[in-house]
Amino acid sequence: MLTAVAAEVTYSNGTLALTATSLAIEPGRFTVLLGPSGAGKSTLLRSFNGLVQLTGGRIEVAGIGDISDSKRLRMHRRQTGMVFQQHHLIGRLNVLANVLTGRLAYHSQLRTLFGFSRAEKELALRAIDRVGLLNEALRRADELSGGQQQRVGIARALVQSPKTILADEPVASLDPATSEQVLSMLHGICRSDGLTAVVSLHQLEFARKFADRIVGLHAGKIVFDGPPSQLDENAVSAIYGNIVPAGARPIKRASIQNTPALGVAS
Amino acid sequence: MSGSVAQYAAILAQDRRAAWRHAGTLGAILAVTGAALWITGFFDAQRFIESGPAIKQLASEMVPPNFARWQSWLRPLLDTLAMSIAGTAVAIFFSLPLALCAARNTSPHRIVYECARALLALLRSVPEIILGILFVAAVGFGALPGVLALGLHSVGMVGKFYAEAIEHVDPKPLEAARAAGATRFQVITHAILPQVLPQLADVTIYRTEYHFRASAVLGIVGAGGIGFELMAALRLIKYDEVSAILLTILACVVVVDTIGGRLRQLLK
Repeated sequence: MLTAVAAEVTYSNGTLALTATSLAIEPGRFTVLLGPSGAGKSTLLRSFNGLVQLTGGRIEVAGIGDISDSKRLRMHRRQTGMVFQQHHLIGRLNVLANVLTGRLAYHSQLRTLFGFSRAEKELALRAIDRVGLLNEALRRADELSGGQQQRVGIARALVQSPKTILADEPVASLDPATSEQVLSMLHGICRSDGLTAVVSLHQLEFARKFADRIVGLHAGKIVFDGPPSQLDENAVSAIYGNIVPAGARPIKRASIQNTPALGVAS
Repeated sequence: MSGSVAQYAAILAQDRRAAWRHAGTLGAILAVTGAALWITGFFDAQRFIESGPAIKQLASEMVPPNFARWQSWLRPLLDTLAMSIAGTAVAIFFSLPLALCAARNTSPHRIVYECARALLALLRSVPEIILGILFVAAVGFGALPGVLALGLHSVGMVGKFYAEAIEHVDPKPLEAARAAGATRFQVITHAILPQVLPQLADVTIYRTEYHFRASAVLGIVGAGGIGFELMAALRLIKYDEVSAILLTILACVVVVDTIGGRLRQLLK
């Protein structure tokens, strides 16, 4: 269980990115933070592992406690894998070396200076195998396609043996077909391993398809919280304001098609 | 159309003013250059006229180069090569930690950052020949003071380049390592250094080449190597031997630079 208690973030330039927000993430579920860019979903997501520092409130982790303490934060980060929008790989290192950075927190600083053990490397290869890139394990990360790079990112998160996966716009820099593949891979892995997932997205259709729970944000506030089935047109316009997002259009069309049918029924 | 004639005139007038400004700048540069030449005695024609026979004399004494003692230069050449490599090792040893302190993104504290920057600037600003004289006085003649002088002077340069490379790393992999629970030190060893390694190696190889050239000069103050032989030949007024040593150094520099160039190509 991951809990934000009155979490608030004001950036140093004075922007209030997140107004005091309380949110509990239930274990084992796939929670999507949905909203337009600038809504505060990345800020909220990143505060869950301390990449963004809160200016008010706190983050509580079950079994660890308040993560503002640096020792607890490291413990929490070790069991929390993160997947980034721009993959965050080191281009000139091979896939295996990139994935192994996910194991850093399991060892002392001195130990990691001398490279990783065979067992660790096998663990990394297993994670690479899971995302279907075993044949590319020794290729440089910058030689891979965007979709493959993001799968390396997922493998790096998995090798941490995480309890939780945080994914910050994991498919925002991929084309729609690849996005779908990568998201369903992430979704499938989280499901089968029983991992808690918090994923920020701006595409409505992906949120509807994969989420167990959608938390909608607008201007640094939670404006919707519920299962995808409850995300009606009012909720969508609350999240996106009056601008209809690109992802909402097919949904809107669907609801227009539904209206006459409803009219007939009533 | 009549209005545009006046416009043309205005534009041309502006163009003329710009041309005058350029001419003024050029004139100022020429004046400063002329003054510099005059201060350094360049316009003293008498000295140039008198220097003619002396240069002719020197040149005739330098040709043909006398390679008779080549066997006794092998050891000093090896010393020089060893000095340049050992000097590089000393430079790397001190540069890396200093660079990490002198790079904004890895420095532990603002004060440490400023101190490291100041120290690097200080080391850069003391010429290696001065360091050479000091170290010869401190540890005696030979290759050792040369290595210390080369190494410490290079720390100033190499450390600055390292720090700049470190400051320009892609911050994204650093964030990924932090998110996975890596400590500050692990972020440096596993996210920063892998990114900058090619640049660091490039600077280091270039510096090794430079050390070879510089160590020839250091021999002059008694810091060992082929420079020592060069100085001895100069003192004994054996100009044919001086030219032979200079040609030998040139050949070695070409070889060292070629090897260095190849190595750097490999790293690309």
